[in-house]
Amino acid sequence: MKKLGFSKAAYWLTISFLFFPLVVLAFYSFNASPGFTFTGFSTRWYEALFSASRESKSLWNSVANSVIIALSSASIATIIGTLGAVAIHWYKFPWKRYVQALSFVPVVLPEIIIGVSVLIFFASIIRLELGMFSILIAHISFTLPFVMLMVGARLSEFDDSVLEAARDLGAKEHQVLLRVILPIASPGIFSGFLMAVTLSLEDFVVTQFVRGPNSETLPLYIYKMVKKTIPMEISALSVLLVIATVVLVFSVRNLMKYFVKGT
Amino acid sequence: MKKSVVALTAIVALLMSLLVSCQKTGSEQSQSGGDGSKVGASTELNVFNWEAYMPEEVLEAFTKETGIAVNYEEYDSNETMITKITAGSSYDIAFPTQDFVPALVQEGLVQKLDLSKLPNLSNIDTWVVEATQSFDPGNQYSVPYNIGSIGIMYWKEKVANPGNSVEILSRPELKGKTLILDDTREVFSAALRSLGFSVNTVAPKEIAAATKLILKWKEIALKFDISQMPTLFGNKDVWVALGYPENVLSEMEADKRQGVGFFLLKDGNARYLDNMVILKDAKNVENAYKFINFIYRPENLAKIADLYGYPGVSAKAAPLRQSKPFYAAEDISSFEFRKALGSALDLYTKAWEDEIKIGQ
Amino acid sequence: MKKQAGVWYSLPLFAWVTLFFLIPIGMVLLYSVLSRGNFGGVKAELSLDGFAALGNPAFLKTVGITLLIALVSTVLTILVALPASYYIARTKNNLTLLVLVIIPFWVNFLIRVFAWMAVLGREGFVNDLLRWTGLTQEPIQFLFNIGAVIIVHVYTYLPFAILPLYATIEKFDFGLLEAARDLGADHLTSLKKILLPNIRGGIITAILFTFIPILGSYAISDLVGGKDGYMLGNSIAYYIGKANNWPRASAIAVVLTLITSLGLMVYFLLNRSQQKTLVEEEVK
Repeated sequence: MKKLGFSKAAYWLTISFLFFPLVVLAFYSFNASPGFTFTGFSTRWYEALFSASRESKSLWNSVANSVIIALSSASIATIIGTLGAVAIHWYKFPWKRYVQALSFVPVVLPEIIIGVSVLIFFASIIRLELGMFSILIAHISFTLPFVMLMVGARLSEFDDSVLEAARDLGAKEHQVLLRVILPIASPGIFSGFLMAVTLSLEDFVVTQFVRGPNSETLPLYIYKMVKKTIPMEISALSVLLVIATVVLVFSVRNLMKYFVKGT
Repeated sequence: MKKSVVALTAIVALLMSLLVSCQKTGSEQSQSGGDGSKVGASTELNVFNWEAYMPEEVLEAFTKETGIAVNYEEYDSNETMITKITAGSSYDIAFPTQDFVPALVQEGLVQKLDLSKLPNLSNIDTWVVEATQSFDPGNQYSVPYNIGSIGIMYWKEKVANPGNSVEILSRPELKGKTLILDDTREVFSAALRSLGFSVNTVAPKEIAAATKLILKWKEIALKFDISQMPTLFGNKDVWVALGYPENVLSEMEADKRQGVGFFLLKDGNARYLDNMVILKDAKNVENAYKFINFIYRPENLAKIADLYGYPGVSAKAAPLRQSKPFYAAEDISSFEFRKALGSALDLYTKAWEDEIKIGQ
Repeated sequence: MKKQAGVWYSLPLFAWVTLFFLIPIGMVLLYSVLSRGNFGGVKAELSLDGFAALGNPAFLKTVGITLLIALVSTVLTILVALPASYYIARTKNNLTLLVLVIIPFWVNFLIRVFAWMAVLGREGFVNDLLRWTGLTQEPIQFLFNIGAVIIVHVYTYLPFAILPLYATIEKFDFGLLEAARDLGADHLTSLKKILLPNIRGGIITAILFTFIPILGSYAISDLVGGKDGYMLGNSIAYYIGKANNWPRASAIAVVLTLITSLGLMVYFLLNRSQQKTLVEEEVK
């Protein structure tokens, strides 16, 4: 074990590298003046977050939009993706190779191409009005393959003898799905769902292309603010978000396992 | 445990689909408000405006008075605005510059206005309304919002002799320290005027000469960007910026602002005349009229001009103003207005995209 | 019955990938050979204008810079990720070590970019420190160049490299290293000769997970890059969002897709000996 000296040092250096900017940001979130010249301790940016100004209203509005999009797109992606993974894994159907190949596309193509292609599709053929709904569809699209990967990975731990056994005992096909397959797959489904939520909450590039009026998500809001000002409220918000996530994840140890497996 | 996970997922899924569908019906309701039959139903307004162009204060006052919630979003150029709209974003109001109004009309993207719903238009100076007649006779589709000009901002401590022209953008000692706004015709106007040409030229030779000059500026510049200008200039990452003073200075604290010098280009430049239009797909038409009419109140015109340092477009608002503008109306009265160039605009677009902006 | 169930289960997926993957990507291909509309969109005339300007040296420079940024960032990311993931894999009860890697990943990536602006900005942390210690008088410009773009990319994609590397190293039989050492190999040699070949699959996956996203990256170079950090992604965003030149944007997207496909082909070729491709992993 003493041989681990170098890699141990490397690990902790890496961790410091990962946390250093966040710590700096947290430090400045208590700055009394705007900008990165520390002039004194203050919690004014935290207060500003919860003030009644239009600014903070539009911030929380974007948080709400993000949460709505993330939960609903992840749910739908989880349903479509789980069924698809089950079908690909255990069933035969005519267009199998086709969906296998295509569903892999968003994993390997840069996000920006997904964004451009979906925008062109919305704006030309179907003339879809851009807004929450178009963002929802785009998010389902790029999270879908990741749900399939997670569920597929779980399903591959089993062979189809479990299904055969259930069928031999007279189970109908829908019973096989509900009583056998879904329970087996549930850790994968949950990991997939969590991953889809995370990816959706995180997404800026695709969302930016397909957004419309009154559908600003948190990443869009942050981008706008970072671009034109030094948004001290955003530093305060990120500190709160990190604390919230860490508390959530460490208080539910099982959740942590899903997250770690999930990414 | 496993079962509860499945159940949880299912419940969340259901709940969310419900939420989204609620949202959708909400917007459908406001859609029916647009046809005029159920005007009272809509309590929303989607405003699409330039960056740094509307004080929060005015928006808040409007909501307080009318109960109409304003979804306010920003763009950084006319082109961006039009792309967003043609791609399928249904905003209610937008603020195109004069040379883009005819294009919007031609593409069928805007509605005819009912000027009887905008009695406060009379608060706008006649010379301003007259100026709009050249591109929109009778204000059928647009009404004026503001007139201004770009100029050069610099940090006094960093630049000893700023001069008074675009020459400052070609100085080798300022390499990486200049920033230029990202707007085809604004930048071309500055270049064309400094070469002694009209901002509305369609002579390929003149445009080519301007392109060459802009490429020289590009050599020196950090990049072309308007959205990031307040941060980059405010932090002194760049020392010289060609852009809208209101974008940069309105964000800055007063004592910091003391260190900034500003001048309009001595060779003259283009004036921009921004207008308000109601878009074809607007869902909250009545609210849009209310909003425009509200803006035209002298106290609101004064607030807008004050925050962004404009010379202003209303003599009635002038006595209510509390601060001095960055430049006076007379300073830019000799500046040309940009005209819509029709298909000749391609000359500019091609030079801008293929020679200047390619590779940033 | 059984066959039918498969049809039903896969139907939503079939519809989705056709409607929202296949057709949109087909549209990009189509748009790249049409002529531009006045304000976004296209006219129904064939035209190679979209591709025409791509021979421009300035555009080729953008391609070169994008490849350079992606390449350098990927190499640095892997070099940092290897020892770190090795340590995680060799530690028992490593859940906390893993979570520590992932926590920064939960902060929205734009906030992470912003955090780097707070660190490296002219009035940022490092410059304050330098001035305070008297090492410099004038602040140093760290941001708005290629270097800043690369650092922030390495930072952003580090977890994407550490996780697959950790997953493969964990499966590695460390007894082999002991054996090599018993046979007289020193530590470094045994790592190089035994460990590296055995975790090649993980390394290649890690490269894939960093290289391809960086190729299409856009926000990072927009926020911390100057004009010399301009990437293909910025170019696409510019032509589609601002220049109203959708054929050009589509043409660049096609070029980017080709470059990506080239990378994928290399991946599959390299991985063939491993007898395990990502697709197969997903399917079976």
